[in-house]
Amino acid sequence: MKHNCIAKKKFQYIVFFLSKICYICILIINAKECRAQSEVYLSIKTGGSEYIGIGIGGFEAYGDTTGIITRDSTLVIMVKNTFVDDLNRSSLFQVKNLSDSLQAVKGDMFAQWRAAGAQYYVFGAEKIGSNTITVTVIDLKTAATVLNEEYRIESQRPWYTAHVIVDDMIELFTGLRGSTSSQIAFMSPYRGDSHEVYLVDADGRGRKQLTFTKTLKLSPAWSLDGKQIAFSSLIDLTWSLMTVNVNTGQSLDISTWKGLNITPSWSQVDTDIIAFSSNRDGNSEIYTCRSDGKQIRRLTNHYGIDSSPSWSPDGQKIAFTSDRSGQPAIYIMNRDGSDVHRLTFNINSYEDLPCWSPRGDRIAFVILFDRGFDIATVSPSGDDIVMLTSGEGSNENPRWSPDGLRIIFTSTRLGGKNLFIMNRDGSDVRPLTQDSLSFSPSWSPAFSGNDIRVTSRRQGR
Amino acid sequence: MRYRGKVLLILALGVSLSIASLDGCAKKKATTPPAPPKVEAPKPKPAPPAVVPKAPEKQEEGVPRDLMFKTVYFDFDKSNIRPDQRSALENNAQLLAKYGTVKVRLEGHCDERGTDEYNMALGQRRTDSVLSFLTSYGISDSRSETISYGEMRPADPGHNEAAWAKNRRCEIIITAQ
Repeated sequence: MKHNCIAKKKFQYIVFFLSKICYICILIINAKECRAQSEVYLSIKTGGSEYIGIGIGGFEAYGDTTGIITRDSTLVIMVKNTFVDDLNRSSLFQVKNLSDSLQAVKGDMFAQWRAAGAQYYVFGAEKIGSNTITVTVIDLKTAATVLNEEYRIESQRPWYTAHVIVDDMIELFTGLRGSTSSQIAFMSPYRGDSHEVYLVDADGRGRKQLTFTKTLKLSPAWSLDGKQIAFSSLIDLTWSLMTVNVNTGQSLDISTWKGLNITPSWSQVDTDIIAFSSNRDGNSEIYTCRSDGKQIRRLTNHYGIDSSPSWSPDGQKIAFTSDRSGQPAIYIMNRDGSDVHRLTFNINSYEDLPCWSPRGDRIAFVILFDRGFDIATVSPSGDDIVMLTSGEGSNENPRWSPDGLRIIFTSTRLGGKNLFIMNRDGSDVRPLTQDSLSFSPSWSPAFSGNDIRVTSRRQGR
Repeated sequence: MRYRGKVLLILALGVSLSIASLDGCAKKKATTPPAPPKVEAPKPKPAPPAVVPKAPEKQEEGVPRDLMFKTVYFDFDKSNIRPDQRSALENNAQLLAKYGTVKVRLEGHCDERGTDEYNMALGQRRTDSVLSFLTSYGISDSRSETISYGEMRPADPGHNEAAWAKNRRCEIIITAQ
């Protein structure tokens, strides 16, 4: 954004002044911020697209004693550009262009910015020589500072700093940590002789192979602590349920009863419980077990096929697929298997692959049409079905991001199978892969960002 | 109608089959097994009530090297044995009864239209149906293994009804002779 010199100097002075106040009071602000977080929680509309307008100020370098230096270091420029991009892709924020309203800086600047659609204002200041950046978020209605944090910038991955800042803002506004810095596990290659589990960052970087066993595989699922991924692997005529350690690559058998042990779903509250489908008792039923494979408990008891369990975020209920009515549909039961009731009633012919949002208010699933699958969401009470895709290829395996704001899925819209990410209302669909061989994704828990945030700590991986 | 004590006698001669005595098994006339196993040519038998396999007297007959079993096909999203598939399955059962040392693997498959996950269970169901049919014929289930490939191993890679019909199947693969 280019302004005329006088306006810019005035602006910089204000920024400098504000940032000085922030630094003097930094400890107090950090303490107050915890309370401020609960005050700024927004309730996210179900399936809706309510965006928070964010005005972006300068991300500039300054020195402690010498005043403003109008130099943006290359690293800081990268951080800012990624930051703006991440905000626009978050399914929560929308960056507002404030340049027009700054041409004549008379009267209440904040009011002008609000008129341009911004509700919050963000700026960053890099301390020269320290490779850290302090980011401040101001509520334009109250002029309160709602976020003020210092982050390291790692020169080999400046984008990561931007991701963590956005994740902090998502956590601030919604109560769940953002998904921008998280990872995706998936399978590849589709229709190969065998599959392997791969990891990739949610921004598409850092793809790496995790397994090397050359078997057919299916449906990865991240553990709650983000350290393990459960999946099924065809070994000696048995679809075995296994886990692999994300860091060491070491794998562990969980359930290897001869036949099918498939579709794992890790509890969102208890890091040690997995729900899965097995035909150990002669028919595909839902079971739970501990992450070492012990304490296997049967939940369903019906001659139909029961598969694809998905835990509610409070750990009290499980959504799953059952064809007990004749064709597969989505059902819900309590965690002990009681109170089984049907959720979807064959909108077209066949529903499958339920995935419960971390926010608890929606369940994503697929509907089979003649042309292929489409993804929809439904409330846990069964009403309000919202279609998210509509016939662009066949769209399967919907999985929520850990902040419940986005969904990753497999789609054939480019030919072959690729992973795509969309907002929770179905908008802004973007490819994560383009090799046409990638399928069956699972989104990791949120990262804490503690490795680059200088002072305060957050929950997360 | 039930088996007579003759069966027990034959068992004593070393037939490795354990003949399960089930209701509703119709009696077939006690003759030698039908013509040599030319599996490709379907027999134009009128569909009688379910046929009971008759254990062959000569169990030591060598297993032909070109022995093959007929693939069984299914309707979309179904695992029940279609009426038009019964004779192929009966043929398979008769061959298994005749050659008692043969062991098989039943491989269940689906067409590409469902989800990978549900199709894994459906493919397993299809092998279960075939296994159940064979068991009701007196073929011991210790002679069969089952496995589901879901939609991962299509016989026909096409994306049309003709290809899909070929992919909804249970193949019977010989694992020991």
